[in-house]
Amino acid sequence: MPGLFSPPADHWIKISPKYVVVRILGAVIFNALFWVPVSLIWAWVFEPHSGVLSGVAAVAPYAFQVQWFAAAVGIVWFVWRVYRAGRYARSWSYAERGEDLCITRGLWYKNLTIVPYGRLQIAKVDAGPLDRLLGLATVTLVTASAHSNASIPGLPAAEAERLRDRLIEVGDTLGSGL
Amino acid sequence: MTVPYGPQPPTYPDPTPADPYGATPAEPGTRLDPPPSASEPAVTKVVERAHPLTPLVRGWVAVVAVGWALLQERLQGRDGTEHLPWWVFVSLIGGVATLGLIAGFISWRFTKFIADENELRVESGWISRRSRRISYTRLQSVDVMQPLAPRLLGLAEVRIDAGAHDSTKLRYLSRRRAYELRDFLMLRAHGAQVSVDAARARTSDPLFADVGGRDRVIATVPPHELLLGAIVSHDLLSLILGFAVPITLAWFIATYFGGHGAAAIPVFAVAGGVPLVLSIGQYFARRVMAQFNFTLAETQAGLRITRGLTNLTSQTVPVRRIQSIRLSQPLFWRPLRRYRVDLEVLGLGEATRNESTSKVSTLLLPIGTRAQVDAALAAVWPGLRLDAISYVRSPRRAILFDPLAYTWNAFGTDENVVVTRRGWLTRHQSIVPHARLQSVAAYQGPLERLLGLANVSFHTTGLLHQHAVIHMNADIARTLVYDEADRAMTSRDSELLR
Repeated sequence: MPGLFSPPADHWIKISPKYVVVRILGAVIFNALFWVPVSLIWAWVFEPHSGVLSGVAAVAPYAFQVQWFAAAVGIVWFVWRVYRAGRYARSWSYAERGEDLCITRGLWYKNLTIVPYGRLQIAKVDAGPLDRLLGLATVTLVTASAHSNASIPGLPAAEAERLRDRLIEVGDTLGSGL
Repeated sequence: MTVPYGPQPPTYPDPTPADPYGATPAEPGTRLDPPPSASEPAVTKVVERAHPLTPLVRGWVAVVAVGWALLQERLQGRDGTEHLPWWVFVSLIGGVATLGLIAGFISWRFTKFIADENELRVESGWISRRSRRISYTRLQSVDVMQPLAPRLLGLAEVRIDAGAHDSTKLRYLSRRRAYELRDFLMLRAHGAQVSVDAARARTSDPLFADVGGRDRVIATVPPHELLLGAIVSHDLLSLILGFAVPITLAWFIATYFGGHGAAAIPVFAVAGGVPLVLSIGQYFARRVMAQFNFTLAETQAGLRITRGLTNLTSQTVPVRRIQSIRLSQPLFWRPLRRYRVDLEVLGLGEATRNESTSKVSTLLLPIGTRAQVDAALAAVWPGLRLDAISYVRSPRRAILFDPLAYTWNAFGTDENVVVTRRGWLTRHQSIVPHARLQSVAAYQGPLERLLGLANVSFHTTGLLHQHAVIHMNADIARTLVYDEADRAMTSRDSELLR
């Protein structure tokens, strides 16, 4: 018996290895935008001599130290994300099977979504600035259900357009309404 | 579903030939007169106006609010208003009322409902015109709502759902016209080429229900059943606990730390008891009033749900638009063998939580016995054989995740539907036709992977992740998810509907 997430037909098609770079750069930017300001604001608020809540430092001397704890959490999480980025990117794969598209993803929480071509309402290609820099794109399959949540990130731009066109073509021939 | 009506001969001429913005059409009330002859061209176009009393109904709330505010000012004597004579107030209220009426009249004057061959158009707006078009083939459901104020004047609101985020509301028509328009739209939604006259001939105009002579009543819910359901519900229990726990705590603290416990008991009893009794009374009253005289009927235009005491709500759903059905059984209903049934239709959104609402809801049956549930299911999907489905249950090791529900977690399939069971406090059973599945997913967390368990969820157009079977054997889950994707494409719902 094959495993739950083993490929349905021949093999899974992996997404581009360059998606790792998107994940890592994304983590860097997120940290720069979130954890660094949080640490700085904390330091400013609880600074013992001139901070807004400097009185707190007198009552609870450890409040000022919490910024180091926050920074440590941020750094550990960041390192973890960068460390896992390669495996996470490799966990994404998809396969065309008969009359549907299978997508699998996830390391701890693994997910396998199958969208029959006939249920496709929209197939769209998005590319953010990081994606464009690396020549990648995301294909999203939209069905009438809000829970389908079927998208494939990190596809080479040409492959993304080919997949989108193919999905629309097959979806047209197999389509069944609501 | 076969349509029992063939194409019908045209019944009357087109009052506005090819110019919807042009000259005012024929006077309201005259256009539905019988046709002069049956040899007119095959166009069935109706131009409809809201009822002339509409501005009055829409404005009365504002008038009452302004009047009340002014009265308060007068009685409390703030801002030196006590020196002003009474006629100032009367003229103020009158002025507001007149302005409201004029605004309402303009809006009424420029709003038209036009039903033609293929679509319904709603044109409105004086300065900036708006035109909404709803194709008959896109209709999901048509509801007639009668809130108290319009109902007293014999008016009703028609609410049309076409799957978009918001529904189109036609307010207000006379009750009879609203029913006629609803029946016409629903017949067209079923693909029948009927004229408005033909639809009108089928419409009846009852005051306290919405069941015509040709309709077959499937289930009614009497008030004592509603009360029973309300009494043994989680809602009531949480209501009582919400009052009892803080009051008991306060009493406990006062007794053991305040030193005046004995003297404080009546105070706490009154402080907790009076609001508790009031809110329990309100809870029962609202719930029973909202679901009063709940009637599920099969009409030629689809399933019809009528309910309400002060606000009469009448929902009509084409059977072919039903995406899934869910049976629920709260813990305390189990010994009573009662069930609640919800249906999923595009545009109705998530399952209704508030059973005291008079708005449209997903309720197919608020409380019913097994026989009533079976009758309701048979009315929706005559081809459904729920008893013949055998279930695959969670393996015994799932007890670690679901100590109370692992015997209930299960799924079953036949050639038409997939049935899933889950939930421990309230037991849910979802019935999803393969043909209505949008996508399928299997998912597994790290602990589940250790135990070789997995979950499968079935995505339809709504009802938020309720269609899932959890903690199944991973191998079975894999087979299920791929098989279900295959069946989603090959299955057709014609067998269910036969």
